Amino acid sequence: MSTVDIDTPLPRVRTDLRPVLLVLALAAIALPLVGSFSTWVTLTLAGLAMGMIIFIVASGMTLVFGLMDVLNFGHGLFIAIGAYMAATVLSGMADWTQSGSLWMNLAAVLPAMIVGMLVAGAVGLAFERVIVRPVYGQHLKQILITMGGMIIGEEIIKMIWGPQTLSLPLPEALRGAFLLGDAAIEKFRIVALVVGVLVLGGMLWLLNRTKLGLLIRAGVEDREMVESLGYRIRHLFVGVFVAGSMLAGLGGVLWGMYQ
Amino acid sequence: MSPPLLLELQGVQTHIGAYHILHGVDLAVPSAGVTMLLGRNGAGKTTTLRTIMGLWRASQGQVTFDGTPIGGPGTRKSPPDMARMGIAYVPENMGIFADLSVKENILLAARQARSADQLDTARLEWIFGFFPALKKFWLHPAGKLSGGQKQMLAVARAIIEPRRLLLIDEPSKGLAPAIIQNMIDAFIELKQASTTILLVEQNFNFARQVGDHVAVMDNGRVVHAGGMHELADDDALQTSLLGLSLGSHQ
Repeated sequence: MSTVDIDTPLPRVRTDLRPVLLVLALAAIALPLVGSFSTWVTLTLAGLAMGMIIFIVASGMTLVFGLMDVLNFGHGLFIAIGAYMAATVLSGMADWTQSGSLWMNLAAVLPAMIVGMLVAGAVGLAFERVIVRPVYGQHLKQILITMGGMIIGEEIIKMIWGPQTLSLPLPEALRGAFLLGDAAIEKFRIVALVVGVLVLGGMLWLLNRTKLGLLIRAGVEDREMVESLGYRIRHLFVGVFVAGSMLAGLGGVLWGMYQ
Repeated sequence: MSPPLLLELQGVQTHIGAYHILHGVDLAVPSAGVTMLLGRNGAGKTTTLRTIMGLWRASQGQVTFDGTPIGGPGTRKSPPDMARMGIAYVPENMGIFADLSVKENILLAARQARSADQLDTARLEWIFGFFPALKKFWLHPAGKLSGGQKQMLAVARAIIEPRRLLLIDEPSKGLAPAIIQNMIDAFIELKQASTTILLVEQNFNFARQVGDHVAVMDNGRVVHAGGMHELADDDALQTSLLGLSLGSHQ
C-alpha cells in the first residue's frame, strides 16, 4: 500500500433502496393485471398490511438467526402465544371492545399487544435457556429440538385454552371498511400497517442510531471480536432472543385479529 | 533492577480439538515495554495470544495478569473479562467489522462512550496523527478500506482507550514500508506512554526497532527469552532460532 492508496477517495455510501423499489415495482406490475384501480388499491393495502405482520414476525426470527446463528423452528410458538394472550385479554375487556369508540377499542388492543409481547418474551427467555442454549452451534440439533419445543408448547396451549378454535373478534370500531374513492379499505388493515411501520421505524432507529444496535450489527459479523472488545455477547444473545419472541408475540396478536 | 512483570505464563498448554498446540509455554512480559513474540509459522504464537485473551482454554498451566490468575484450569476468565481488565487484542485477521463505518468501529471499542460525541477527542486526534487515513474515511464502511487502512483501524481500535496490555498479532503483515513505519512510530510512542505490548511479528526489522524484550517460540514452547538487542546483535543466535540473520532483513 502507498500514500496514494490512502488518498484514493472511496465510493460514497449509498442507501439500499432496492427493497422499497421492489415493492413499488411489484405493485405497478400488478395494476394492469388486476384491471380495476379501486380493486388494486384495496388489494395493495391488504397485501401491505399482511406483509407488515409477516415482517414483524420474521424480523425477530432474522435477528435471532443473524446474531446467534440459531435456526429456531419453534418461532411459531411465540406467534401462537401472542394470539392466545390477545384473545384472553380482549375477552376480559368486552365492554371496551364492544364500545363504538375508536379510542376505547384501541385502549383495549394496546394492553392485549403488551401482554401478548410480555408473555411471548417470558416464554422466549425460558425457551432460550432450556431448549436453545445446549445446542448453540449445532444446526441439526437446533432444528430438531426447537421443533420439539414447539410441539410441547402447542400441547401446553391446548391444556390451557382447550383444543377448540378460539374466536378473536375485532373491536367494534375496527370492523368493516371505509371507502377511499371507489376502493374499500378495511380499517384493521390500516392499524396493522401503522403498527408495522412503527416497528420498522423503531428497529431502524435501534440498529442504526444506538450503541446497542451497533453491537447487534457487529455481533452478526464477528461475535468473537465483540467479546474481545469487552462486551458479553451472551447477554446480547438472550436479549435479542427475547426481543425476537416479543415481536413474534406482537405479530401473533395482529395476525389473530386479522383472521 | 528488572521491571515488574505484568503478564506471566507458566507451563501453559492448549489443545484445539484433537490438536495439542502449546506444549508448556513459559513467558514473562515486563511492564511498560514491548515484548516481541517471534518464531516460525506454526510455532504457536497466535495460539499463545488467543489463550491469554481467553479465546481458547489453557488445559494446563497458569496465566497471571498483574498477579491475578486469569487463565488455566479453574481460573479461566472470558474475553470480556480480559478486556475489562485492560487487555486489548488485535487479531491476525484484524477483526474489523466490515459493514460498520470507521467511526462505528472506533465507537464500539470505546466502551465508555455511548455516542461519537463522547469519544475522547484529544486521544482521537493523537491516533489520527499516526493514521490520517482513518480521519479521512471516518464515515466510510470499514470493509471498503485497503488492507493497510484496516490494519490501522484495528490498532486504533485497540488504543482508543488507555489499555494496560496490548496483544497484537502481526500488525505489519502485508503492509507497505511507509505504513509499517507509521506503525513502528505508534508503538514506540505507546511504549513511551507506559503501555505494555506483547507483539507477534514475522518482520524481524520491525521487531528490532520496536522490541525491548523477545521470546522465540518453536513447536509450542518458548525456546529463547531475553533482551531484543542481544538477539539483534547475534547473527548466529538468529540463525539458530529463526533461520535468518538480521543482515538479510535490513
